[in-house]
Amino acid sequence: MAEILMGIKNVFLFSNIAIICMGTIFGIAVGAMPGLSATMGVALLVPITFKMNPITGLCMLGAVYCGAVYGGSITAILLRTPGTPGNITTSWDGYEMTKKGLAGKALGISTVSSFFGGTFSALALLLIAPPLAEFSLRFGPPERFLLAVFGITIIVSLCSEYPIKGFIAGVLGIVLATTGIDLAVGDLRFTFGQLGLFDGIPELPSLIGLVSLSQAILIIEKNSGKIQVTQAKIKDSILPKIEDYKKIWKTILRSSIIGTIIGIIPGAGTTTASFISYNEAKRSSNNNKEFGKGSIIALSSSESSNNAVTGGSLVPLLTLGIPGNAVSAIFLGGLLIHGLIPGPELFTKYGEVTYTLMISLFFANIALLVFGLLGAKLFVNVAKVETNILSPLIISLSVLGSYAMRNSIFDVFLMFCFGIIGYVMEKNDYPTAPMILGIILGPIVESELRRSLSIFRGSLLPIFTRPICVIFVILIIYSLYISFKKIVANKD
Amino acid sequence: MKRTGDKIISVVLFIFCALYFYLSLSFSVQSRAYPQATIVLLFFLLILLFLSTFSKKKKLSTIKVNENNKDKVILSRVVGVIFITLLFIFLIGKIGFYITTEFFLVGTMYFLGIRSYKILLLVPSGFTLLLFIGFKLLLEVSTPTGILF
Repeated sequence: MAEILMGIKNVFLFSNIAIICMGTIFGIAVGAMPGLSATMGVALLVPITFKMNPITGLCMLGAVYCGAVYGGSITAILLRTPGTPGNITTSWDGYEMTKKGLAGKALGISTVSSFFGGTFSALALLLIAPPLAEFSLRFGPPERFLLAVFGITIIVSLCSEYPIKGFIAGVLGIVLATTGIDLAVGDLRFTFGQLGLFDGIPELPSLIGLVSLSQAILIIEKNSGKIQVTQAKIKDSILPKIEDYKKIWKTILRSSIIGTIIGIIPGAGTTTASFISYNEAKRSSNNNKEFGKGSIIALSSSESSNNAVTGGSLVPLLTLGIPGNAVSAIFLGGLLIHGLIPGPELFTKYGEVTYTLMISLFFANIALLVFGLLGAKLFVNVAKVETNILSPLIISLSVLGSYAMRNSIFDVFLMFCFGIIGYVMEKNDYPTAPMILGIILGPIVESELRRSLSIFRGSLLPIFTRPICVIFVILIIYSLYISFKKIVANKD
Repeated sequence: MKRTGDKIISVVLFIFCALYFYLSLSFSVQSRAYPQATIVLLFFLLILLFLSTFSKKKKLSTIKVNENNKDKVILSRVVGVIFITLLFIFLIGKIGFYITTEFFLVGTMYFLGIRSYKILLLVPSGFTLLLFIGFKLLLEVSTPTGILF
């Protein structure tokens, strides 16, 4: 309780309130631009937080995350162009409402639903994370090893349309993560004589390259310029009416629960949450024929669930160090640059920072509600920025961001290389999320495997005597089974 | 699946695996065990991928949300931006970040087809100024310095 009060006190500092507001606005703008994503928005800002106070920096990242996930709904509703993949289902009914002259109502429902979903998941984070962190004290090297493996296998099975490619990306990330000094023995591995690789592949430049630079190239490869769609005018009121709330409150609650749970599962993100919630809402609706034709229930299910992922995805990250999705993988980078290691220590020794971050998400969602309702009409204009202007700006930010950490031009070149790799991967349907996790979790997999082998004198069989390990093994097998089913389905 | 691309990627990664495996032989036994195991796993996955490109059964390609069949990829734009970016990275350490960024932004936008002088003047200048104020003055983030600024 004392930590929560401390968190509230910290959030109410003028500097932090200002940063949360700015972060939310930036996030909404990034989310509203098709081609950009919450992952990119957070990735570009992480290096900036290096020079900030950790509390302020993490509050900003959380605000950007919440804003970006919501921002995509604006263009999804007004232009039928989802700003992020998690807003695809939003566009189905949102745009239909726009065609009927109800664009304002659609934006209002979307904003309110996102607010409730995000707030619900922030509450879940606050309630679940501390006890889970305490539970993780029971984790030894075998549990942490299997947890890291599970993190990679589940993200492959859930986010890869072609699991073989997902596994290749993940294992390639793990292989690359072996670069650097082997701390146990002292050997230099795969450094090619480069000082910049002695400590391993630096995570942030590689992530910025994979996520931001690759996207900057992707958005200009076709000379599409800006979105050539006439923007619908908002003629009706944005504020939802009492009758609207009566229709959608159950859907919002159910979708928020679904989104939070899916956010907690590593690998499942906003897209999965929005599709599952949409289907669930349709299944349980008395009027499911309206779905796809401008149903406010459909719209609210999509938006509340995708924003509910935000808090949920931070649960495994803060407690176990396992990112719930690509955005939280980048968030991990934000924690590490401030010397904050996920786990129980985050809630004890660094409790002030962690609780302030969790409380700040509530305020980020309030900011989202306010700016969304007031400024939705304005935010849609960011989608009109030409990609030919946007791309060079993103590239220059990526260069600066990758240099800022270690003041190293080598890191910038590394970012460039990973940017090319990321572009090639995207063009050939290789998901980048497994590679990101492979790079981040690879060192954990190796170090905990070594410790486990050391404890069990060279054999891994004793892990089956540990109940938590058995659960993880079952989960790994299940995630591999999901991948196998997809492979068989792809062949048919 | 894009079969030709997959074949090329498989071959490139086969070479990568062979190279890395060869390099790992120079490590001590304890140090090379884990990298070699992961390289072998990767090799196995690549074999599966390579073989799948010869499969007779085709999966109908799914239509991606963002794919517009009317817009084709213009390779010269991609190659051009990559080359300009590489030059930018090379020059920031020689000339200085802010001056190079200004020229990079103007040059890249012009290359990509922006012809409005207003945009070519105002956007790079405004953005570089924003970076300077935000990073240099407020956050005191170091930027590459060269002979200029």
